[in-house]
Amino acid sequence: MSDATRGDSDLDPNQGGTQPPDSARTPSSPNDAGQGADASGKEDADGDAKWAALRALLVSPEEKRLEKLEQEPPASQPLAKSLPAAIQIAAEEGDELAGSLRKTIETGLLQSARNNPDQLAEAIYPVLGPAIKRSIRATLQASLQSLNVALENSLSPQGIRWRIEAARTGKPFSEVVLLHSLEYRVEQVYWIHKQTGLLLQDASSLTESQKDPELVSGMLAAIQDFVQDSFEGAEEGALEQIEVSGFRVLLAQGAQSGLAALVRGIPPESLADELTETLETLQRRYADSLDRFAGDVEPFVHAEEELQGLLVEQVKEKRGKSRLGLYAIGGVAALLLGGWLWSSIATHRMESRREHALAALQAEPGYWVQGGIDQDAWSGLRDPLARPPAEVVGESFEDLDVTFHWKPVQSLDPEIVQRRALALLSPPEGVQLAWPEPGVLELNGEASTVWIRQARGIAPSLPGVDAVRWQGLIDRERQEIERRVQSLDGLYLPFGLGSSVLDTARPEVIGRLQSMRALDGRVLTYGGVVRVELQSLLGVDEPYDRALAQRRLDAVRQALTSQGLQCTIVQARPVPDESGANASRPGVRLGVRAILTHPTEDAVSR
Amino acid sequence: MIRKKICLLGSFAVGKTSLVRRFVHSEFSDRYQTTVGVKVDKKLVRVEDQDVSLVIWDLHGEDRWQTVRTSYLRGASGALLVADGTRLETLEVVRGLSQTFLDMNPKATVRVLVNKLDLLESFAIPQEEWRARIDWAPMAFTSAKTGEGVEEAFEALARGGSA
Repeated sequence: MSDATRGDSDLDPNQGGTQPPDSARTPSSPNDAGQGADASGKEDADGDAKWAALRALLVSPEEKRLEKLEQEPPASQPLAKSLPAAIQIAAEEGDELAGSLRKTIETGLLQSARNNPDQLAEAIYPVLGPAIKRSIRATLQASLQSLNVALENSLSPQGIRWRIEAARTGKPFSEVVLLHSLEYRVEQVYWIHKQTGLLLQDASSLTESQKDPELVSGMLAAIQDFVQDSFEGAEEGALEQIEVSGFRVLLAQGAQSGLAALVRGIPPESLADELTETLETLQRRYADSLDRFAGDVEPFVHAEEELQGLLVEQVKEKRGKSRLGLYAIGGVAALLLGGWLWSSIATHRMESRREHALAALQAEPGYWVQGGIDQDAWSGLRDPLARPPAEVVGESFEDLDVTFHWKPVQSLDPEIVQRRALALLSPPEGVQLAWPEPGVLELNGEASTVWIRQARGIAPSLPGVDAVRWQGLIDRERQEIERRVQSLDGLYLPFGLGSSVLDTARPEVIGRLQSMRALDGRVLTYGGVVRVELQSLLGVDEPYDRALAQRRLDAVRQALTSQGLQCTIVQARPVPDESGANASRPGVRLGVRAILTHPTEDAVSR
Repeated sequence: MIRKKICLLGSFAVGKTSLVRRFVHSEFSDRYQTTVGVKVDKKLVRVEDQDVSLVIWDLHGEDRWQTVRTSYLRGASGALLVADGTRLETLEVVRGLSQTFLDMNPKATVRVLVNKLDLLESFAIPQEEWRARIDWAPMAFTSAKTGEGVEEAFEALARGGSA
């Protein structure tokens, strides 16, 4: 190239080519040309030829070079030789070149993809192929995993339960299985330096019995190395998952580091993606520290926050739920059984109480009941004088959960008849009602005339009373009248010897007349009349004088009448007083009787 | 906190695992157990007021050292190359492993340990001879059984070299 460059530089117009134009300037000046023009047309032609010759003499090397340049393509060979070095220098100095080329490369790729897709696919297959294969494998693995779980559970009691759930919720069975199988917990996460296998940072959800993270990360790195060595040539064959009874170690690999997540249970496919995303974030954030890493893990302390974010868990509360369900069912069953027992006992007790109530009511005077222990509404007849139902039964009907419909009735039960007699007669103190035989009322004792009169009106018409015996009942008023009549009978009103004038001023006469008046008033009030028989008594020393006797009778009659007595007065034949103390004294003796017109007398017996 | 990956390399039955057990757990057992693959252990030491966590990769004994899994060596900041004082042939293995190891980790430190010092009377060659032959790297005599020289060997490795 340098030779060619040198060759070209020989033709440089700044070197040899500068002289001829200066030396040829005089003949080609405009003045010279003007002189030629003054000649004939031949001379013009000669002039043109000369001019052409001059021009050829002056610029032919440039013309030749120009022609050569126009005919040949640019000097790409030297450029091709210098281009790689130039690009390298440009890349070292900055991203300017990449920026400049970006558009061109993109367009070129686009055109290539349109015009010849097969070729492009072939070109990028080594890059994309493994990634695609890995992705497909992961998807298939997840599906198989679900299928395995589904098969394992399809015939178990749990599987049947899940099928019922699927039918109930309308979800596909596989989805239900997946839903129930997704129980996992990310217990520990290790960020491991790829080259050394040293632990950069870790996070754990466990508080105890944790294996030393440095040892675990070392062993994981060793296993990784072993796998990669053993399956050499399969770069995409980096270990992604390790399974150890109940545990899975998910691994994500980056250029400088890797993440390992210790998972208990079956994690969802998305966890691997999260792992990869977190790893990418960490590698980006700590790119410089990772480049310089020489064992000092201090710069990665804060990466724990990111790792903590991966400590997720999805707790399947299947057992808890089912146990809870069992408890619930057991509880409900116990409640139902208890309820049923309680109800049975309550029903039995209620029936027993109702039976007792019915029996009591049916035995009670004044009741007639129609109902049953299994009936909630009873009906019947009840005498208002019967004892209240609650008193008979011993508890309220509300407690028995029974409604009663009573119709009033007059009962002929002896007890109710007696009660009715007592209620209606309301005998005063001193009067006793006796029932010597059914339907026979006997009244004994003393009572006022008024009450006796009322009782006489009521008692015979009492239902259930066939006969009333009044003999034992004493009319207190009548008794008093009889006593007074007895005491006044034979009352003596004295007269002076031979005199027919009643000395009404004498105290004894006044008292006796007043007594008579009182008796008269009492008998009148009671209902009757006092009958007074007057008999003149002649003194021993008096001669029989009929006229005098008559006058004395008249005087007494006069005295009684003047006192306002309503009594009946009759006269007896005057007789000499031959009896007792009054025999020596003349006077008038009163024979007193009371004629009572009271119905008791008529109704002694009925 | 500094973490360092340390590899234990050497022929089979030279006492690599016993050295680790002595160093990490202060234990020793006469029973020989062959290590399959690699066993990782850890010991925290303090070097110049700084905690250094030594993650020790005890690699399985390999006579045909050429076939040692080189990926296990990657990223180590040091290696203890263990020879059996009673078997001279183990030194050759150590030499080869040293080369492999340093090719992988040019900045790393290596240290040769001639183990089983408790069996000094059975040594294949005298100690001076051992020293003379191992002039290409720092070396020490150790006994996993008595513990002699073990701590020092590991701590020396913890002090020097880089990952």
